Amino acid sequence: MNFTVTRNDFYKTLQKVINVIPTKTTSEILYNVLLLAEGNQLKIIATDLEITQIAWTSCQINKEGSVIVPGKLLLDIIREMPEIDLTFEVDSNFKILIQSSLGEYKISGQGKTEYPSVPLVESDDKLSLKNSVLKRMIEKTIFACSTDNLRPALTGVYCQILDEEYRMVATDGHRLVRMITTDYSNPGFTTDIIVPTKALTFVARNLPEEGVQKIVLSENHILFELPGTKIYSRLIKEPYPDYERVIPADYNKEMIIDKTQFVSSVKRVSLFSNPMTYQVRLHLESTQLSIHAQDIDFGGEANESIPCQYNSEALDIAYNANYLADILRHIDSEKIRLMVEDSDGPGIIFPTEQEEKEDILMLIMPVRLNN
Amino acid sequence: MNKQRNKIKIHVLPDTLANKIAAGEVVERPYSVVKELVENAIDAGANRISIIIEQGGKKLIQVIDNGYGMNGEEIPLAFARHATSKIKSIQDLDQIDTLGFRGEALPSIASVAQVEIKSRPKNEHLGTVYTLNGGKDGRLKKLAANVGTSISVKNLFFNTPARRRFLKSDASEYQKIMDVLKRFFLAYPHIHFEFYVKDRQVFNLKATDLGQRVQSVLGQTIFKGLLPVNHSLGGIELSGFISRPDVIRKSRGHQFLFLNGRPIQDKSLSHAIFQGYANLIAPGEYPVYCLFLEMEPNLVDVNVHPTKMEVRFTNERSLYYFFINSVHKTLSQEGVIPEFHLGPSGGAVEKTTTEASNQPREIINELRHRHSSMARYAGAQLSLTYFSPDEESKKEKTSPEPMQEVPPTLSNPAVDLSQDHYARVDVQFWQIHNRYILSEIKSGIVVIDQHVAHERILFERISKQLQKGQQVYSQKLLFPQKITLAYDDFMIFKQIYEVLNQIGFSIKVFSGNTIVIEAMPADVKVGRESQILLDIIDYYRNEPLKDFNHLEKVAAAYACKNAIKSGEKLSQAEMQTLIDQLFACESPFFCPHGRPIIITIDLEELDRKFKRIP
Repeated sequence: MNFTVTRNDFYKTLQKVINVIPTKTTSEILYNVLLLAEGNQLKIIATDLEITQIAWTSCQINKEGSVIVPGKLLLDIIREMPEIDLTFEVDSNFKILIQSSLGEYKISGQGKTEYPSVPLVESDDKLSLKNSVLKRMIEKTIFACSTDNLRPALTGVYCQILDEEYRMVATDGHRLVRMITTDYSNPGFTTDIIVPTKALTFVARNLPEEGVQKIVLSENHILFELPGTKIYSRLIKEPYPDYERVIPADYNKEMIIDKTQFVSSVKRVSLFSNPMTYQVRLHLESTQLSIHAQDIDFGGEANESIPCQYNSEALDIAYNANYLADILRHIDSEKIRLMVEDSDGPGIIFPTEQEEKEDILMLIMPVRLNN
Repeated sequence: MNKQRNKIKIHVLPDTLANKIAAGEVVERPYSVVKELVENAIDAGANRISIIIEQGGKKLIQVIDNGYGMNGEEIPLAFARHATSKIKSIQDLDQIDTLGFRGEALPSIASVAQVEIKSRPKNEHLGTVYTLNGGKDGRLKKLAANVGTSISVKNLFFNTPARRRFLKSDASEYQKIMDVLKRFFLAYPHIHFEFYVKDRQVFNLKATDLGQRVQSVLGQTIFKGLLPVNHSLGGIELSGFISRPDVIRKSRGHQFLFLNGRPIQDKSLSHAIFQGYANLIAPGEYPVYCLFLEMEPNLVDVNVHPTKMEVRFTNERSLYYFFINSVHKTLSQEGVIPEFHLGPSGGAVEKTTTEASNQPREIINELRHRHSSMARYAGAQLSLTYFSPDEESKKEKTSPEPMQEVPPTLSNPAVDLSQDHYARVDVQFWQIHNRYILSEIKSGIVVIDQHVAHERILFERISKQLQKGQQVYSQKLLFPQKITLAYDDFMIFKQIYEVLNQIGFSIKVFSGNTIVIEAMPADVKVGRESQILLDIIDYYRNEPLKDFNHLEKVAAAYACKNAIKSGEKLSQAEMQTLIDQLFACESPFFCPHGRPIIITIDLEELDRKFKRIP
């Protein structure tokens, strides 16, 4: 194998896939990337077995071939280089010689036989989504996913392809986000899948602002075809909980409040909450909301009041401040609407003004108050 | 079916035979001889006693004292049955303050060994030597002798082969003798003891005070782990030492209890001491103690058994609680922190101790934030940084550092070390093997076990919640968890579920063995709901927490199962929070099971290891 590529092209391509490399793995081979020289293209592939990403660039191929090489090492070399031409030469023992005007580097590589193969995703189930829509939906949902592997279904985002709308739902069992867009055209089928959050993070990072995103779905995988790169991910094949059932249909208590004030106040007060539970207590009155936190172990305490509009009799309700602030910062509108039934039931948070063709709903479970 | 015995008439046994029979009770093994002889020496007012043994006491036991001594007339009498100088009348039996009194020992010993006794009272110029062979052939001779008595017992059981055969190896007889001697050593620090095995001097304990004596007998290592005890209650006084809960043994070998100077064994009192440790030590573990109980002799009956190891107290019950309380009080006083020793040290070697590490509160002060008012809020601020929106989303968009490890989700609460400046952390912590937290203090290094530290924090909080009805935080679940329990699990669950509901769970029985978890204590990790319940059930079933009451047991189970595990990575801020909370605990040094949470390694210890100091 022998090819010549400019430093910038190589660096950009490698950089796209490098984060797929796991930080800790028992399978040493995954620390490598696969370099594949075919036609007039150099492909770089990285995988952690769940997610596989391929990025490519055009270059001058003198001799086709492939090699696997430690990814981070390669990146560290290239990063410190100015824009020059690099020639890679790989002999039959997979010794790699990188030549440039600066000098030369020798790295030991390996044959690609050991490297996991790229999953085959061939299907007619293709979905198109606007890049801006997809990106926004990913950003608004993945924060609510669970990081705990004990319930695998909750570690991904639940995507529903419905007749009229496309939905993404994320929850960890304590809070939930449901985002619906109608800015989409049905691809001719309906289905639902769970996509791992990590894959979506990579997708969001590689999505350009403009254009339309093509998604291919197969039985066990999802493929995002992005400019200059493809991201494959295994799907989480677990039953997703019936989230619709836990979103109450109507409420009689409603509070409207300035979002910025609310977030800042929660953050300040939560500094005084117990660092294990982060509990803050909200006291809702018709014209003002009081936020209170207390840490019994250390004797700290905080109280703040901010104006609000609330339509019912006074109510006390407590939340985990982290969950609350997480939710609030993912809402764009100036004011938010918090709806509750009682201090024991879920709180539903909406932006007062939804964006066009969009419906976003956030739900937070309270911390029960009892003395 | 029996042999024809009835032809033999009843008759009084000759003294020699009677003594031989009595010897069966009094002289069980060489150590009993040692015990009797040393007791006699002590009763004779000696302040210097030498003990010499050969072949585990089988060949020779010799005890030399500088006590009152006996004259030529007294000596043969001493070997007559029930001859004693120690009591005169039945009234004296209620006021026994000497060690021996039954007058059985010498004749019994003499009947089964070859005995030579050499003695001279102070007021006489010439001593007497008296030899006996199996209690017979007594021969008296005058000769020059030191003041005091020297008695040597040779070839024990030479005339009772059956008994001789039952003796154990030299080594194990030696052990027994050591056990007996240690009791004397500890009980009489003002007596100078010397102990020789053949020609080798094993102990040379000069007259001193109790502390020094304990140190030389039990060794430096144990001594450093002992706490002084000093309590009294209506004429009863208890003094001595008990060990910190981490200085435990797997046997009772290091438990010494003395009643008015006499070593005794008392199951009830030793149980009381164990109880005093509450749940700090596990069954099968034995604390080290050396306790002296002083009380009026007439409140206790020591004449229960010839070996006098057992006694009977008139006010046993109140004594039991007095013991529990004394031990408990001692342990709850400060000064309870385990220490780490890198190598074998101690023994009866004198060594200087460093004072610095024995100040646990100092360690606390060093490790906590120095700006105490800022203490936990600095930590909280750190943990909040993760939901500052701008930072996170910027990272996502521009991805400035390609090498940067991107958290799998945006809400990953990881706080990296680079943010330390927020916290004004002035104590640095290192996590090793994701299991121990290491930090520096003036006198050396502290090592904290992260799991048991968190366990202690949770245990205390839950206990408080249960006892004082403190605020309980209970996070409602969006998707109530339905679990069908195995029948035996369900039975345990039924026992504990009310307590679980008190500490923040909200669990309902659905039908049959199926239960629904609707809420969890707020600090349980998301997704662990059903797992933690099963863990608690298992723990409750399997852990032998005998000394815990029901509530404590549930609290311990919850604390253990919800605590940070060994192997979990902690950020600098999390470590600080953990340590701040740990030191807000009432007993931050031991986990609910009594395992140490914190150990210290002295600089001196390290210096020694590196041969910087000899």
